[in-house]
Amino acid sequence: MKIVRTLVLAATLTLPISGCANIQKLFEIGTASITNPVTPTMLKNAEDGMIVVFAGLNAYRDTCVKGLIPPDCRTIIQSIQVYTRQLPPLLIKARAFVRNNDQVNAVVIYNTILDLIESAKATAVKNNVRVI
Amino acid sequence: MDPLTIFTLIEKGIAVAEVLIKAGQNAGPAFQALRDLITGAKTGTVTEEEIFKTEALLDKLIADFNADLPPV
Repeated sequence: MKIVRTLVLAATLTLPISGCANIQKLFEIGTASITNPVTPTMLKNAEDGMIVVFAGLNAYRDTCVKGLIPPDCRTIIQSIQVYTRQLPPLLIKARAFVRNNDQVNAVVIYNTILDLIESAKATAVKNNVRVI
Repeated sequence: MDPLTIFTLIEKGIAVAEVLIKAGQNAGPAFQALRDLITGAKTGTVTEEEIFKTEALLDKLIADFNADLPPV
């Protein structure tokens, strides 16, 4: 029972997601703009934050696949994937724009990535994925 | 990032990593990311090699999460 409780806790942590744990805090750089350009360090920091998020998300997914949490977790994961599946091509573009210092496009893509994360968060909240 | 932001992020990251460990999950990526954040915050710059490492790790984690769920 204790291990199940722990796994559920892991699951609820996963999406740093809702409530007090604002996912955007993991990126915390805030919205980029031409006056607040996306530097390589800024993008890397955002990606480091995303690594922590996805490490947790994968733990949630693992506990779900193992059947250790209620089966509606599958629907929740799929609804989050609607947003997370859009990330890979955007990240590729963001990295390229930042490397080429194409700030106009980098800012747009970077903010789009943040919007997607916010949407993933909203989806989690809507599905009662709670955080500690 | 300003120090307060870094501390907030580290606090949240450690909480995530701790739970991952308790749940028997691999917390390595989370700790690596935190270490990178701290290092980056200290130096203010990052090397190309560090950037490539972060990108590769993040890409893998996203791909893992985005994979289709196995049948029940």
